[in-house]
Amino acid sequence: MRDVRDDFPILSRLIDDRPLVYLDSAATSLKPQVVIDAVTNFYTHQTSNVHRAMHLMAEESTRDYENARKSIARFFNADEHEVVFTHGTTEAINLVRRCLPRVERVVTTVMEHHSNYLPWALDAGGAVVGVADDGTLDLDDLQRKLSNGADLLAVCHVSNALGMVNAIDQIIDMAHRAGAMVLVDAAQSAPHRPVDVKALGADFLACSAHKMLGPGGVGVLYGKSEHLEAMGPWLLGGDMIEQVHFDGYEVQPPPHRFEAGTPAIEAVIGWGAAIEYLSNLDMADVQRHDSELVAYALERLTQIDHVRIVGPTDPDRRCGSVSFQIEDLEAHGVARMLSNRSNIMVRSGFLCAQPLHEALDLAPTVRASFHVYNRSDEIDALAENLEAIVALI
Amino acid sequence: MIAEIVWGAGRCGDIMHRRLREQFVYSWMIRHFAMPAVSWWTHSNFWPEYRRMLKLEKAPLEQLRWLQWQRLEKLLRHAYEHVPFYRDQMEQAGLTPGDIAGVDDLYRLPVTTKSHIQRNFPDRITADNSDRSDWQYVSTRGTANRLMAIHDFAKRDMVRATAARALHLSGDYRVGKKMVEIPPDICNIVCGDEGEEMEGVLRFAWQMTRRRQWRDRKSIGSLRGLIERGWIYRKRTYPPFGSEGTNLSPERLADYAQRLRTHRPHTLKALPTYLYEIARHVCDRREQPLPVRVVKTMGSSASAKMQRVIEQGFTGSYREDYGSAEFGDMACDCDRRQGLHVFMDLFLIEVVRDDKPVPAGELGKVLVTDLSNYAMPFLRYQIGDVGRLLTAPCPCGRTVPRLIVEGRLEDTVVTCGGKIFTNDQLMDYFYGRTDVSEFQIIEKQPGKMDLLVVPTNGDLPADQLKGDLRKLFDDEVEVNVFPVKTIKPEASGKFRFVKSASHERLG
Repeated sequence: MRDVRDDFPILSRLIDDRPLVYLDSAATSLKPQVVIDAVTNFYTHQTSNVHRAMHLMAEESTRDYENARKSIARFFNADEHEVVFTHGTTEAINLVRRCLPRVERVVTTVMEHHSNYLPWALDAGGAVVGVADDGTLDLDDLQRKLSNGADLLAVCHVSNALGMVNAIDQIIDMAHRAGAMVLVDAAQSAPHRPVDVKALGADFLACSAHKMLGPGGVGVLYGKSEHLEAMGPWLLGGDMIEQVHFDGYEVQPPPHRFEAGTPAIEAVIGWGAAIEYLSNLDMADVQRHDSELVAYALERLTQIDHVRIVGPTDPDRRCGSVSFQIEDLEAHGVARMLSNRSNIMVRSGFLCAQPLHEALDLAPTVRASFHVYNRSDEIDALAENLEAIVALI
Repeated sequence: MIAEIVWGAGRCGDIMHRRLREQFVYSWMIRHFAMPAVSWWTHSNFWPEYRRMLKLEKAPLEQLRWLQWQRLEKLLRHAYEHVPFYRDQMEQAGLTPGDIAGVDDLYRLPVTTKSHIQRNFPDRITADNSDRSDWQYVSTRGTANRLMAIHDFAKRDMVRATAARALHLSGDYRVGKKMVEIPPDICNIVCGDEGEEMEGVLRFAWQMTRRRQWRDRKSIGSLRGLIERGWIYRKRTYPPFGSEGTNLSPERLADYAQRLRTHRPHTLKALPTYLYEIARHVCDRREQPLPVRVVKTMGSSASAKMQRVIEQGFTGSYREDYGSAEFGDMACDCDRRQGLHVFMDLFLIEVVRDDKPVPAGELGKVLVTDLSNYAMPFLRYQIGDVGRLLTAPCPCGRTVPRLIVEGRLEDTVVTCGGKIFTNDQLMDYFYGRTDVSEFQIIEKQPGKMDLLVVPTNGDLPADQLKGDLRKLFDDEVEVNVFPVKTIKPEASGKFRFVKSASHERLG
């Protein structure tokens, strides 16, 4: 993959005359100039609402907004009407929880981000699949839970806390054989590897723009047509209805049925630009680049005394990030030291996956995560700083 | 009837007498048996140091000055030889330790800032000859903007000893008496744990036995911490106010009051805002003052008007000490309450403007040199407070310098005319008004302020406030006034009532 760093203006920022080392892309990604330009262009030249007015600017906005939907649908190999814009992955998952009828028994996993755990795990019909000591999903336990009866399996493609890749094809197949639909949380996989909803056979898939080089405040729920058709609206208001009368209303077909009110138009348009950008890079190359960075990070960090990698150390089983702990040092303290010393930005804490930490009896962890703009020399900087920190333990 | 009254009075007297006797006997036993035993078991110098410190309090000023210089001279040499950051700083300033011929020469050393510490932490700011196996990472409160420091075993002993010293000298607290803390958050030890262990000593010791952890350093450290909190200080920690802010519900304030009435601690330490709100709750309801002998603040001091309200709400007196997580206690007041007596055997405190000491009594930035931290020396560290240093002898008879801290530097407003308003001055101004219950000044840019006000009676006298503030600042300040229901704490749990954009003008 070509060197793309010049496409990201924020990487030219100096803090105390030293460059930025951004290793927190699993939290949110940096934005390329094309995305900034798309958003700026909307504000500068065509601010207007979509799907409503007849004037020129509204027509332009509606065109760009719907073109973004088309781009995103193509990106995931979905049909256009199967792509519902939401505020992000969290809202997409909650939309399924609220609107999908006849779902009482839901299986989820302990490795989920809170946003795919809380909607399901604490419900009466919820069942939670455990993990092995290295964080690998326990497929035997999954089979047992599915066999007990399940309407839906809600599972992540890649764990946000461990960066571990689930055997998603096998898992979807197991669920379908057990008669369960599958909702895939692709928030951490879609930014780094090709995701083909048709090939996967997922019933639902959710992800967020801001982790995919796009703006904040927008994500999608992909749903198979038959499922979306069966779902009633969640929010009531403008744009989601065909007609409104004194005594009732008629809802739009999907996806607009689920997009009440004025959407985050500029964010959707910006995401469309991000999707085009990623597509031009070629997602196969993006995946290769990510794999190289993860492998290199594992190689460097495993050589440092007192640093313990959390999760599998096989790079082929990881995507986008490496989590670790330093013996006797609190995760937040390590993260702040890296930031203070060398402008290295990493995430620390329970990483919105506290049940997973509890299941593995883990204290909070530090996570270094990557994207297309990261280079191996930034991992060197991380490793060198960690070496300096642990040298004093 | 009369017999019942006499019996009741006698019973009350018995209970009080028993409580006093228990506290006295327990404290006496802790001091004379438990502390020496714990010191022996843990090889700790805490208790002997504490006793040495108390003796030094009575030493003549000249002796203390001599001791201070001896310790400073040694520390400067150590920092130059073993701490890369300080060597660089001195070399860039064209200095060696030999060029500092006395305490009065210290100003020639460059000031150390928080940014310096952060950029060089831990490897370039710590001593290369320090035994790292007994380091402990400590941090100031708050997650994002905290400063981390390293204490070795000796420094940890000093921190414990100065804490006991400040509690004893300022409030007559002795180990074994009951204490309550209401901190803004829980943990300030960078230990990998998520907070203080709150379980009982015996239960923890039993778990150590079952897990065969009696040789495990971490477990021993945790047990020692539990003994210190539970048995020596008999310390209880109440939960912080949380995100509700200053105007806590009457139910929650009543709960704090009830717990204090039941527990009856000798000493209560809490954020000044917490103490003020609890005291105001008690006073507003015309309840009996809360039975706490000594009330102290943590995090910052209370303004004069807040102190008066606090003393009305509690039976005991308001007392102050001055310290931080990275240094421990550095000064404390006496019963005359005319400034905080600096522990000059352990700290060298300067008050400066433009990095040079200001004349006695003038306001400036507080710099701290810690004479007892050899693992991570702090030389002329700008701690972020503003205050005044008084050099005249205290009416109590002690002659060490006294420090008056008036708030944080970042909470100090400086007008373009050069008038300075510290946090304490502004708090006194607003708490002196009958129409303002709580306030927060947010200076967005020098001379341009948002004033958030919790009105006393629901009516906001916005125009009156604007006019009064212009008169106060004697300047062309632009003030926008907004009514609010509460003043929210910062992410650290602490409150900031003044956020200045003009503090850099202080010099």
